[in-house]
Amino acid sequence: MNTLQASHVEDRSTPGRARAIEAIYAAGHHLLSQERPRDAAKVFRLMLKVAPHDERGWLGLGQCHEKAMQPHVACELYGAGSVVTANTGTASVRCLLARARILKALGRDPDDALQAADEVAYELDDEELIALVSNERRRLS
Amino acid sequence: MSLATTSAASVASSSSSSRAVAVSPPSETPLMPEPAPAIGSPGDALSLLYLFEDRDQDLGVEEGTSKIASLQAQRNQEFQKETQAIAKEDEAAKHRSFWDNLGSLFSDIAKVAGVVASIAAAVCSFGAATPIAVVAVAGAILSSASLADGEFHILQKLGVDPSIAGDIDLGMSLAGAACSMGAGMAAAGQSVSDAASAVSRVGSAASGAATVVQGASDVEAGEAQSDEERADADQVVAQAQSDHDLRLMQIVIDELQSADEESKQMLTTIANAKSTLDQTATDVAISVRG
Repeated sequence: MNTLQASHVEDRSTPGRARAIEAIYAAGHHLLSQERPRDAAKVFRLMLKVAPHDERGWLGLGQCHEKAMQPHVACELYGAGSVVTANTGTASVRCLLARARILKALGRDPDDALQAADEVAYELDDEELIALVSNERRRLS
Repeated sequence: MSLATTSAASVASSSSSSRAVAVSPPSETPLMPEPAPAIGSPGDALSLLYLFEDRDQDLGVEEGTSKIASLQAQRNQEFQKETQAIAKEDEAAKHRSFWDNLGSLFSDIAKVAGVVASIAAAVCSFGAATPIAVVAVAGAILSSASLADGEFHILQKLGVDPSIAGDIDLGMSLAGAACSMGAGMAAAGQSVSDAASAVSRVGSAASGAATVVQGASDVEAGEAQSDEERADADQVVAQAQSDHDLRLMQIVIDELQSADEESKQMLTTIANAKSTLDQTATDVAISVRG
């Protein structure tokens, strides 16, 4: 099971709820792809309330703020997302990587966030995530 | 589609564009997963969202009520602790000596340190005891407030210097110091408990130093003074915890009220969007049939 699946377990307790969460995410994703970050933000905020452990809500909302040129707010959301998802047993590698990216973009040191992502990816023994972190390290170095 | 890939890069593009490199760096991998294939079209998503939003109004009220009841019970307990602490302090005050003033300065230091320690304790207990939904609510509030007021405006309102945001957690201001103080630190490679322990150690150290200095006057003031000190510190801690719970409760109540309004508006928006979609489908069908 990869991190993404692991972080969704709790929120997908019933089929109806799981479908609703997928629908919310799909709607937010669609709005973001249409370059409507403010509308997408409303949907992702709803997703945070319905499925706070789902890393995709935090990633989506952070992305809305990045598109709205609010990198500091995005940075905080990725940070909170990585902690909240950690409550399920594994921190969100993707939230940590998103935070590393934004820190780098803000001229700050992304190494600690990358290191944390690296540790979690190895702990999970997830090849996809390990490769993702490795790629990110080379890209941001 | 490459969501979550370009924005951070665009912030930094000015600094990186001038670099001449022989080998291009690895491309930015999308971090946001694609939606499930079963819900590929926006129409499907809207239909499901409409159904869900309709049901969620009741669900939200139910969950919110239980959340408030839980916070209220917690606050009642803190209130009782506070009352006991005040009673203990009153009792100790009857035996105060003339030497109290000498230690008052150090007493203040001890109080401040005590509050710092209590905040750290709140951070520790927050992760385990407080509903994680409150962090989500704080995140949602931060998001809506900053989109409404602008990033720097909200940073300023929260008393955070924009240049250091990212190191200091905004949730601290939002949810009474406990919400996501550890978030920034944890994301930066430290665990929440490590961060909280570090703060707690600083608090304890300061508290200890003040106690040592105050010890000189306590020799004369006797045990009554230290009893009062302890009672006073208990009260400060209880008060800090109580205030913290009250703020959390207020956030949840406010959020529920606005969520109800937002929910109604969202239902209308989704219903309109769906109606347009259905109408378009009907128009297309009619035109195809001629």
